[in-house]
Amino acid sequence: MNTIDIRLKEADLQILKSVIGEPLENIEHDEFIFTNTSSQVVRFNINGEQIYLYSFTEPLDYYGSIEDVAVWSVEKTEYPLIAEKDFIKMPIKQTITSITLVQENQQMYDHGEQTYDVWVTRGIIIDFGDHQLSFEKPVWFSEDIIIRKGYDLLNAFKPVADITNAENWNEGIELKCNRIIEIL
Amino acid sequence: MGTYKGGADHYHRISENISRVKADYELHDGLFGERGKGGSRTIRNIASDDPSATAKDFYDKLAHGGIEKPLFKKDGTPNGWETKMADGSIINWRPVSSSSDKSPAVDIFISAKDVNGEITTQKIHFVKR
Repeated sequence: MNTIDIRLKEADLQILKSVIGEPLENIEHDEFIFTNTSSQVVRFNINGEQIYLYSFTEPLDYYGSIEDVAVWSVEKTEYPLIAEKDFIKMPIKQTITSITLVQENQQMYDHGEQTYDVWVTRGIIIDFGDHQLSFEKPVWFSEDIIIRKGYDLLNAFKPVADITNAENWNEGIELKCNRIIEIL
Repeated sequence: MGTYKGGADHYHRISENISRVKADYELHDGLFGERGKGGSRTIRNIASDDPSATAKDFYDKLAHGGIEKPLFKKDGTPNGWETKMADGSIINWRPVSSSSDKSPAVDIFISAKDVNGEITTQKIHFVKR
């Protein structure tokens, strides 16, 4: 069985945990043209410090073929693409009360035998007590990050049924998908 | 907001470009080309004598009138182009992909309601005939 884990790593989680209780001044992202997405990066300005949510592709086994798969990370490093960005600023001015990870487990079965066990961080939800800010990975190959602000934002995420049905798998192949909500 | 890809006079929805692409590339059940490797039918192959030129032609036609931005790797080297369309669809063109044959690839992410399933989310590798 192939096991692939592209969830946020421990170092990423440590950065996220360190900002709970801190004031989020604003986030910076690409201009929203039609959809509320930012390509490859969102910058958070928290209590005078900058952290980044990145999405870069890495060559990975995508259910039987090596493909460019988008992988998220949370880092303090400013990578060269930032110099090419013309960010706009979204004011937040709220204290982060908690951070929730939407962790997704995809299990592929080939004629009943499990062939893949895949873990993906589907999204991050930042809670301010009375409202939320969320970030979602739209599709496996896209470095775009969907940004939403509002209430009960987990309900706005793409349903798991859309993921299991979207791929139109070969005959005999079944994909099961479920999500685990992890509060930091 | 910038200029529209290919010198278009307005911001295009992907549905405005499908007929132009269909004229040159076969489309069946929302998918271009033939089934590629792996378990997913949405990973496709289009074979030609010049895969790089074919990939660029396909991308330029499908992404016409969109807003194009570069994509980068972590070290700052180019990693292709992304075009966002007026309906929210996103088309990526990678002149060199990470597949074993390094074939150029076009990713299509469909979020539009107006294409009525005529085209679906897929990834297309352009391979040597």
